[in-house]
Amino acid sequence: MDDQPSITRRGVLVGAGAVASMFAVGGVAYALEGEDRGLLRPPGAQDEAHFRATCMKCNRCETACPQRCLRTGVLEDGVLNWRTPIMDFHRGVCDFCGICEDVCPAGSIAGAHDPAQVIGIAVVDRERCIAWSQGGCQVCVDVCPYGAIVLDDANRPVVDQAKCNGCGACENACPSNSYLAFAGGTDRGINVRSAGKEA
Amino acid sequence: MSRENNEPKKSRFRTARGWVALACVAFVLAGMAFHVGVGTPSAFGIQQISAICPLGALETMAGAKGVMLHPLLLFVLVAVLIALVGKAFCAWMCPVPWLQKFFRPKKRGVAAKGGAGHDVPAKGGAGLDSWAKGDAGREASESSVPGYDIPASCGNPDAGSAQAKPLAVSAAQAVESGGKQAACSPSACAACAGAAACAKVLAPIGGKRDGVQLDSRHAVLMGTLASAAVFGFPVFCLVCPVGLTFATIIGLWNLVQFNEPSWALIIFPIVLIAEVTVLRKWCSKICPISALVSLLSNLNVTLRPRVRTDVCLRSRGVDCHACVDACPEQLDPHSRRIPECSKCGKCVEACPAKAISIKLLK
Repeated sequence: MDDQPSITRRGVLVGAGAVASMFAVGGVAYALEGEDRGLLRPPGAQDEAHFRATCMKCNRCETACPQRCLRTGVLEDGVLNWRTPIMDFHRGVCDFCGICEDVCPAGSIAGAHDPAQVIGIAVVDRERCIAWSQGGCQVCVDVCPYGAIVLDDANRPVVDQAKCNGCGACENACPSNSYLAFAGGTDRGINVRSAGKEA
Repeated sequence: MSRENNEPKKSRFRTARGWVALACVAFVLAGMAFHVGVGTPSAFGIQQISAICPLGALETMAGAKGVMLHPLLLFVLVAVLIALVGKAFCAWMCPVPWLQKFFRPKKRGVAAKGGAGHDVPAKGGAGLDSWAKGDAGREASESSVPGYDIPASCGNPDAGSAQAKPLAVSAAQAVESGGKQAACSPSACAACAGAAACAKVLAPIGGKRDGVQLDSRHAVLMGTLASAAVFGFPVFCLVCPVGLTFATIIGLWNLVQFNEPSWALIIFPIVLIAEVTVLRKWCSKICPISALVSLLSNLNVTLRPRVRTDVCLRSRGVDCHACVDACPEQLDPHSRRIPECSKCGKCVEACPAKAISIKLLK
């Protein structure tokens, strides 16, 4: 067989084929990704382009988060976001402890210790919100650590977008899905949305 | 030592490798169960320190088109680790050799010399098996084939026990080598005062992948970094078999823990199985992790297999090449530079004279 020189014609072909298929995988994944999906990233990872470039899907932040509010992305979140960390406030609330930033080996998260980081903005779902549909609930107002939710004249919660950093306490505490039944989705009466996608 | 030799035992190195691989899985599961954040082999670690995947680190830097301090420091840490342990990751932590063994259990016959890296364990595996079945092999070699018989006068006490042993490679090879070597027959060897005289006669065996290797893996490595830079995300991570193995495990965990079925449980195994069955020479021809680690392990001077030439059968004129046959990386432990060595220990166990050991230094 081909002896000493370790670069052989076959090797070049194999390498070229593998590189070509890698570019194909990258291209397809890139094409499938499409528009910004408005995923909620850990605090300090809101620059999606930087996050996408650096996250190597090692699963450390998900398992390190003491609040357990990070889930692992699934295919439905997009091929590129598969296995990446996504905030899930049904599981926990972000307290900006910064541990996700500490454990991240790839520098994907910057400034997670700072509650001034905006993970997203809480948005009241007026159809699902108990206070808006029936009245008599102010759980989110009481639970918000930043005083970002106030009651309007009719005792319905309204989010002060300037104060909200998307920590998820309101979404986590919202009892709407426990008291009311809705068809489709797991949204609650108040949900954190990616900043710029509040609508 | 000789007693161990007599027992048809399972390979100790292989057992150890199995435990290390299981420990990796256990770490990942424990990390998820107790929320200690040890992560996956992509970046095992505690708090700020982790053994970052060196390829992942370079990919992310290529993707972000910038060098960040934290990943850079971790990369240097891992580079130092690799300089210390060489390509040990490939044999001790990477799940691919195990998957290959599981999904391609068929030994591919007594194929031509060499296979490819871990990809074709056939030859090495066969060698080990024939060792395990030592006595049968020995009977065969004693009755029908002369085998590598060494005159007692020529063997030192240590090798004495090995001498009676299956000298192993296999009956077929014994036939091929004709038992008595033309160049240095046992009688000639007996005549000579010591083993040294014969040592000169046999040329070194040499492994196909001795020395610094630059091959298709390195092309793939460049492609990996280029694609990360072009598309702005680590493309290879999407198909990395190490990542996918643990992503599957994480998927299973999420299924159990959060009752969250996902496509990961179907698609990741399919990609994985395709990689280990269709791309049979993944490790030695394609894997960019192996490429990068082998580049870094050119610095490695520790934990290398070393042959005691006075004990090696070749010094006694026996054309034994059990170590080279057993090596999944197609190396010769007699060679001075074998940066591709993954410290799997197969040569140590294959050596009929117990002449090979993995030395901390030297």
